[in-house]
Amino acid sequence: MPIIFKKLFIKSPIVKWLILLVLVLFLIPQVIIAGTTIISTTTLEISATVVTTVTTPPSGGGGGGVVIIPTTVNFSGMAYPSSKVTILKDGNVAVTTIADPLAKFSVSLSGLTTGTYTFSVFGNDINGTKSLTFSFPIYITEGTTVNVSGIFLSPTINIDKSEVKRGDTLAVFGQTVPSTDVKIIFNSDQEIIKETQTDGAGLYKYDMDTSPLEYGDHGVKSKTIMGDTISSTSIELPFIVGLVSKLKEDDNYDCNIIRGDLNCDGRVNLVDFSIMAYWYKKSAPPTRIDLSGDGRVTLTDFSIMAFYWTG
Amino acid sequence: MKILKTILIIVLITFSFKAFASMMILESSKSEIGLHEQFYVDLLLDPETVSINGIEGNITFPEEYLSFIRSEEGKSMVSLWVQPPQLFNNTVRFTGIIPNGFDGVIDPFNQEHKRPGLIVRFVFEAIRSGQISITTPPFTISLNDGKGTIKNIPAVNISIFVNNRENHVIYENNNSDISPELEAYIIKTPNLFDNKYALIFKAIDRSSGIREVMIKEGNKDWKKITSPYLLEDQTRHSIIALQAVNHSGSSVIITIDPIEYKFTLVDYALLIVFIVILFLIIKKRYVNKNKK
Repeated sequence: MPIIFKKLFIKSPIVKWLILLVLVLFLIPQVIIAGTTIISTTTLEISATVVTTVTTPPSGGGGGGVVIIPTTVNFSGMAYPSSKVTILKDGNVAVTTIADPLAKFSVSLSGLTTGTYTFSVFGNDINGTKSLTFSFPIYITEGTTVNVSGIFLSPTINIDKSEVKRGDTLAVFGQTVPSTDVKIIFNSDQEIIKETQTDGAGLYKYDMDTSPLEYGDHGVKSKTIMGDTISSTSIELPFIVGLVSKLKEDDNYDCNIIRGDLNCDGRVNLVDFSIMAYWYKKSAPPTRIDLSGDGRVTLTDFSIMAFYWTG
Repeated sequence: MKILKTILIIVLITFSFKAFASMMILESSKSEIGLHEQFYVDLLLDPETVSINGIEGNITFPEEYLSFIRSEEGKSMVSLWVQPPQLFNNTVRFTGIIPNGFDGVIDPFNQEHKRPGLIVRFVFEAIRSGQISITTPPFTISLNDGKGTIKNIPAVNISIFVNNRENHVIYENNNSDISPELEAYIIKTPNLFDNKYALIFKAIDRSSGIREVMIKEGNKDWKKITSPYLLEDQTRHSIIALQAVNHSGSSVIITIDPIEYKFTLVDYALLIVFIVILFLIIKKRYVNKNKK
């Protein structure tokens, strides 16, 4: 039997292709499915869990009258101590709130009709630095209360130098939840992860010795670990390891800090979208509008703007 | 060795397709329709957990079999249209963005599986019987990664059978009682219309979608416009009325007050000169009269 199998396997091209076909149709997809499952459980950063409570009219007894149940969405989670938290509904500011000194926030929206709404949440830390925006579309049914809990905003992040002399220290700092661990990730040829802790105000700072980093471009980002819960990862800040150190200039508001803020008002909203839409597919747009720098305004530029949207 | 190579190539190709699994879906309200019957085809985006914030695409229909009635964007995941769905011969083109991205609709009653999101609803009327196909080329989408990374999503198509029985049914949106929402601003910025006054607006209708937006500047007639719009009255002394109408005919009107006229030093100087001249004329006439 083994000889026949060997002959069939090696000499018959039909069998060879049949085996290949079986591999492609059955085995490989199974491996891919298995791989996908692993990827989704290990890399997916769950920053909000949606728990629903359906409120129904009381039944029996009495009679008469109509019970109107308000449609409400309750948002709760962790931001930064005493910081402003903004909730956008379909890209427009719907409500803002202030987190408590422990960074907890909760806010409600009501008066919604049945439909799909895209809600986005972001916070501004003690220095006004914006977090990454966490966005989630939810189908809302009239007369129900939806609780969106467990929102965990990414830590804010800043660095003291745009270019650092190799061997000098680079200060990485920001704000998140008080008394938690912060992982600082340096994206170099080899990823370097450092850990620090936040103080009672949620502030953290890590002085990175740049000796182990190669000359050239690098990036740094951070995330918060609070027990078993991990926040989403912050924005990645670029820096250069070179021959001299240059301080990062951000004392005054510079429109370039928020990409997409075309009219320089500190926000990325309908006004900026309208300005960009005016230049869509037109020749020689101003460099300020052409965010991708490819000489024209295309979907790529709108996409960059949509990422930094503040409403 | 050859087999190994082939397997490797197939695996690589399969993985490269699997790596980006987002897809578009075409869904029709009916698989079989009668002559002169109106129906809709929904174009949905299933991001498969990838966050997408922009889409550019088009759909093509056989114009000898179908008449395009309208597109409805009221329930779309796209909240800002760079180019709203627009008909060019037998193709409807569109480009829009989803601020902060979209990775699937959370259904609070079934949180395990995120739903696809509606991009556009196309309403058609059958005008000739036969087997028809509505097709699309591949779609261009952008990832919500802050870099504007562009990806392609494979083309889709849908087959519909038009029978030869007359069935005069007009498709109407069920939520026709919902009024549109309108938000508008007047801005003046160097990068828009050479720093002239411009009107920008966003009209939303959660039922059928916006049919048109019209403006009335002062005593001028109503005029259909798109955003951004260069105001005709650059003095900003006219009252501006803006009206958004949805496909069901419901509308909302907002008005924007003109800016108050502010007197400058030149104005004051001219006023003083005018008063002096008037005074002199009156005085001269009065004196002449008295002399006579």
